[in-house]
Amino acid sequence: MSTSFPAPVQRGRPSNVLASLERTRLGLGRLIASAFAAVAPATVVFGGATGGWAVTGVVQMPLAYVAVAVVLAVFSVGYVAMSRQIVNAGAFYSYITAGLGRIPGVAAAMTALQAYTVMQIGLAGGFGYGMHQTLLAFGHDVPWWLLSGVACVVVAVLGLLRVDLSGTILAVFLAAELVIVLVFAAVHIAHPAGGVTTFDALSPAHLSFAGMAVAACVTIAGYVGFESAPVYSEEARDASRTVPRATFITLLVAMVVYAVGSWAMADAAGPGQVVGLAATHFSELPFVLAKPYLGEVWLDAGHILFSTSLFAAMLSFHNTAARYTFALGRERVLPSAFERFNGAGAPVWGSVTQTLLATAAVVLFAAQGWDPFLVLFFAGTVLGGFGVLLLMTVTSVAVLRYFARQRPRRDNFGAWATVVAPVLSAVLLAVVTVLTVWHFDLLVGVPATSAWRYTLPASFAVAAVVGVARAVYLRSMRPSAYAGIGQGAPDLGTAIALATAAPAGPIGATGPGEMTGRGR
Amino acid sequence: MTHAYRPPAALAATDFWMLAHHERSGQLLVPGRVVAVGLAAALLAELLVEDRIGFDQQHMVVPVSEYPPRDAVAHQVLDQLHGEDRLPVQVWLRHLAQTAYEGVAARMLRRRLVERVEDRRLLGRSRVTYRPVDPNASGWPAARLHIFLLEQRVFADADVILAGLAKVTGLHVRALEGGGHLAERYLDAQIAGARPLYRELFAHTAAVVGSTVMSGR
Repeated sequence: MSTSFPAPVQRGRPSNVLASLERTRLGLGRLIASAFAAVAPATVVFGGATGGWAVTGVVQMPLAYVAVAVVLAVFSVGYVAMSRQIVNAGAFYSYITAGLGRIPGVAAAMTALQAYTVMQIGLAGGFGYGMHQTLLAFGHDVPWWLLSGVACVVVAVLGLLRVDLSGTILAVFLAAELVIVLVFAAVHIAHPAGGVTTFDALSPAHLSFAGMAVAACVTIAGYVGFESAPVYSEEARDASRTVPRATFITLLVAMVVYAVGSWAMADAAGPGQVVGLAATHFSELPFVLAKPYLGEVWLDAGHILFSTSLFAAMLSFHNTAARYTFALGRERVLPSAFERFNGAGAPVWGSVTQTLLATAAVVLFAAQGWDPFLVLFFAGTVLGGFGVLLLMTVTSVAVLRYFARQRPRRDNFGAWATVVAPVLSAVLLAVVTVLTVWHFDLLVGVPATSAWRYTLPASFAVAAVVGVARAVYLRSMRPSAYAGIGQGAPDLGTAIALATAAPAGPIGATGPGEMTGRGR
Repeated sequence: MTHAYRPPAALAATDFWMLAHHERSGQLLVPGRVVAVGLAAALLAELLVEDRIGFDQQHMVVPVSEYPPRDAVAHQVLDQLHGEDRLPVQVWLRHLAQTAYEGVAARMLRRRLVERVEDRRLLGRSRVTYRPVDPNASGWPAARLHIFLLEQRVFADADVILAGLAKVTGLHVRALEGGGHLAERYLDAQIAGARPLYRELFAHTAAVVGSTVMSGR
């Protein structure tokens, strides 16, 4: 978590040790697959885009997918440069700690935890709804909450058994998902509304700032997961090359699939009607549009893959959030019980907490009769996306400040990665953040007078304040734990300065303890 | 309970092996990957205790003495350390973890502390486990740690090493049973008071264990 690997050849003498470790590490393909598990193309195109139209009423969702991918790519330039400096499995949190200090770092950790948790809860509802629609297509009417509940139980078991959908199974499902999304897109494009292909959904004309910002926030939720490659930088083969590549390839592929898939739907429905149709059919929209032209088998396959995609994403966020609690438990930011893992190596209490929260949300929504798609799935995932937007904004500032203090490193990466890109992404993301907060009612589809438009974004402020309070408490009561924040090691009653920087590459050997003793 | 003062088996990896396995069935008490990292750390600890290696300011392992250890596994580890340029402690932990389990198992077999048991499965693959020959001897490191923590006895160096490695691999939970908050605080105090070299080893081990748990590999 702290020291990263030097290159296999050091001082001209080949190292058997480094060569043997090199063989065990993750390649580019595995990194991309792990990012895509959370990205889940079918969930985003069938659920996210249609939900976006239905709730926000902004036609230009496809344009937003393209624009946001560009902004995220700019963000990633500084982000992956940072990942070569700080190797820690809790990326956003440790970068903010390194750049801005421990107190903002813990605030960020709490925000991240909330964002990923809300995301997981939203996907639990989304799975119930998607599976409900799938079973309806097969002629069975099973209530969504029962299906969500079953998913919570299955995810709980898989989470505790430490099952990650990874490797071959995941790759097969992802490939199938991509194929089905593109097949639907092809059918939609072949049959545009009124027989005329239009590009209105990709045109910024008639688009207000508010609409753009809200659409941007909706689409960011679809990209969450792209940030996972640096989390594995310690496990990746030739991390300085594979991690940036995995990040940019994930963004590019996701952008193409999202933009094409959603534009094709807008084209088939007609730009004038797509919002209205989405508000009637929700995630069934692509199926309704394709039904006259596609065989039953394809529609069934689409339904099934939509459900599996939601499930994979839910499991992925469950595990991410559980691991986050584990990392925070180790550093004593959360109670030490979260540090425990079971015989399978799963962070027990983190996993159990996620299951309890998701189950409670499903029970609450079922009891109150609230909408599982528009509110639980859409508002939940978008709220999670908003949290990640906040984190990315602060991370950009952290990257900028980190490199501003580390002259030799800045020279090593160049001004584009360490100054220009972070400034640019910080400004762009901050603009989106401010506009989104301003128009939060549009984002989650509540009346402009509703209190939810204030309480939902404010919940992240509460999480951040809790984080600040905890950090201040640790600083005065447990200085050794405070010193270890963001270091990836547990509090052993001693502030051992573990090297936080990668000695790899031409940066040269970096001294230990640059993180400690700064008295933050 | 006079025999409670009997020292641990003196070799850290042997003690850690016993601590990490059930004293009767020989089943692992924490995930295999975590045990492997713990055993790798224990092997380094054995060399630290005898002052054959040290750590430098850049957290690299520095071999100090070439005088061969008596134990074959320790000898092998020291040979590897001499055969390389200086590498970070965490790199060594990851590297040694790849072979530590088999290495220490061979030592346990040689000393007739465990026996090899092959489970035949219905479908092809058989699984090898190592069952303790004497459950009492095998349970001793865990029992000693438990007693020492609950009765707040004075730790010897070997106890501190075992306690620190137990703490960073999650094996301390069993040793703390029934001791409550007091025992936990006593454990933390013992680890905090360990020699700086040991504490550094614990911290690096914790970091590697953490990334193993985080990445699930």
